Amino acid sequence: MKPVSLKKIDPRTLGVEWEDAHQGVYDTTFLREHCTCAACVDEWTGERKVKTGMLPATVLPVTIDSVGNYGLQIRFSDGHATGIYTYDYLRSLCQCPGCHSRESGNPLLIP
Amino acid sequence: MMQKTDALKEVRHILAVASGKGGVGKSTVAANLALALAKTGAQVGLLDCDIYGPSIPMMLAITERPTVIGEKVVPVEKWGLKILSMGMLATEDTPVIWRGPMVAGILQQFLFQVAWGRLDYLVMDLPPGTGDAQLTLSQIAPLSGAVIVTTPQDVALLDARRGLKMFQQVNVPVLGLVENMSYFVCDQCQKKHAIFKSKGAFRVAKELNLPLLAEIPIDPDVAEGGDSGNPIFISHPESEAALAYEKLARAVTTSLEKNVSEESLHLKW
Repeated sequence: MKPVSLKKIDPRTLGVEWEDAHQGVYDTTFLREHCTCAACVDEWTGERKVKTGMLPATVLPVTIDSVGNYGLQIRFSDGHATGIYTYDYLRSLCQCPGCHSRESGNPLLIP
Repeated sequence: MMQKTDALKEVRHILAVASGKGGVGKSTVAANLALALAKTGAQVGLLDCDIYGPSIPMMLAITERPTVIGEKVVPVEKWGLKILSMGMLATEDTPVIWRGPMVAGILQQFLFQVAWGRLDYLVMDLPPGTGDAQLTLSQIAPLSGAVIVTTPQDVALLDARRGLKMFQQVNVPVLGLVENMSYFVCDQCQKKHAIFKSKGAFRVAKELNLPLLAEIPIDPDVAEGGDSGNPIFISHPESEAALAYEKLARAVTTSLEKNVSEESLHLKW
């Protein structure tokens, strides 16, 4: 599954349209808190170093680009850019009313 | 991260030419494909990543060494290609012995500390197999796609499958298979003879759901050209092999352009 377009829905919300026409919504702080890069997740223990609520609300994306044909790279305003969100992972993080209720545990987001 | 993207920012497509095993003519295919791409009017670079047994300099009769300007290596230009190979840095008969981490280092330099300039295609001739170097390259180079070179025998085809698996694991799209040494056109009766096995790659391509991009015939001029430094695409542009390379170049460009329009996303917040 791959995204076909990206849009900024509001200053904190990313909209991703998928090839199956699914309209994904993502809070940008939620995305950042779920970054899987080595700086955010301890390599040995798997412990998340950036915990929920630790990030100032002023940290927002600057640019979002596709990487190869498998993921998105988000460059944040605090300089953090090492996280690559593979399309499968990104899809699993969707916060739309249809996706949040499942066992995903993703908080509901209605932009 | 920034520096990496900078060095390659004017390169539109990076294409890997790979094979699951050695001896299938991967470097020959890479060199002739690069020349065929250049003939279409594109700006083409050829990077010989076979750091252990680089053969591109011999195939293209390159004796010059690349120059260094500032911190960047300037590739050697020949037949309209910008070429860089480990063979230009080491002498012919010294074996190049690298340990894994050094391999990653030198390959990074080849990609990111070279003044490639504006290129439509950068063709990377990968070392044979599915080891450290191949994996590193697939991960550090923003590859647009890969082609896998094989020959009609079952063993080669088995390794082609492994190559495909490797690229799938690192999410690099495999554009298709190229069957080298596909058949021989008899100079007496003009009949096509499948010397090794008929339709081997065709069957595997079908099984793996991949296009068979080209079937390149066995031509004594191909080997002759490779050894003398006159690749067949230059020395015998009308030969059946050269025409097969043109077909391959067309298939590759079509496939790469399609991938780009479908997949490149950008959003400025």
